[in-house]
Amino acid sequence: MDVLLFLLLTITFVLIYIGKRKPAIVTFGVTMLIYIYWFSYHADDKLNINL
Amino acid sequence: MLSIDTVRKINLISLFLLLTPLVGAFGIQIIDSEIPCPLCLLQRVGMFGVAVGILMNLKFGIHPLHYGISIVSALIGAAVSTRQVLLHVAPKVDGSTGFGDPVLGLHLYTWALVVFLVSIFAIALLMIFMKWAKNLAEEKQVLNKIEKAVFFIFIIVALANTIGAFLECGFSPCPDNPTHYKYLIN
Repeated sequence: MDVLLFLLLTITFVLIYIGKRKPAIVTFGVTMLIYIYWFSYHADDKLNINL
Repeated sequence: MLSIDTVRKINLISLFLLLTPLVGAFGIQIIDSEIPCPLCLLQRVGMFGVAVGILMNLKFGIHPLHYGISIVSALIGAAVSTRQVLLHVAPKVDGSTGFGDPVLGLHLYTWALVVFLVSIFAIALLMIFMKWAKNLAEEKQVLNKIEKAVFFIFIIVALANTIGAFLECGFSPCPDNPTHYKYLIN
């Protein structure tokens, strides 16, 4: 999942650079949804102090 | 009141400031062989997210939507780093003070929290003191050489992190306390 997040961010940067504003915003939105899900996955790890 | 040109220059400087912890953390990962933990990776994602809004300001012009994108990323990133700070707030039995080695007295996740909070504060100040145009047209801006270079650096660093995350844990969740790369012969 971390790989997917970084990959989507790379795609977002490329889309911004080539001037595709709406696709960049959509890609970023998808990234943020996955980001929130993935953080909640880790935050629900109780008190695992090795994180 | 700050003119659009001044705000554009401040945006460019802030991108270089954001690159510092991102490149620094990746450098520590490569040079010191300090493999990032799952929450460390998520903090990097948050910093890249903050950069997305600022890069959009450079490419499409200054717009509140772009600042909103940066603030949302900074808020989630701050939540991630606060979570990690709280995990290590009590000293461990073995005497270690936290995950990884501290840099200038603070651990990387504490620096990340500072970066996110400063980002939110700086964006708020920019939005207060900028001289906004009446019609916010989203027009593609012509990027100068330095701005193009910043774009390329961000693309390269994000791609390097993609490869690093894949080598560390593939497509499965990263281990809590990583000791080696999953797809790299040590």
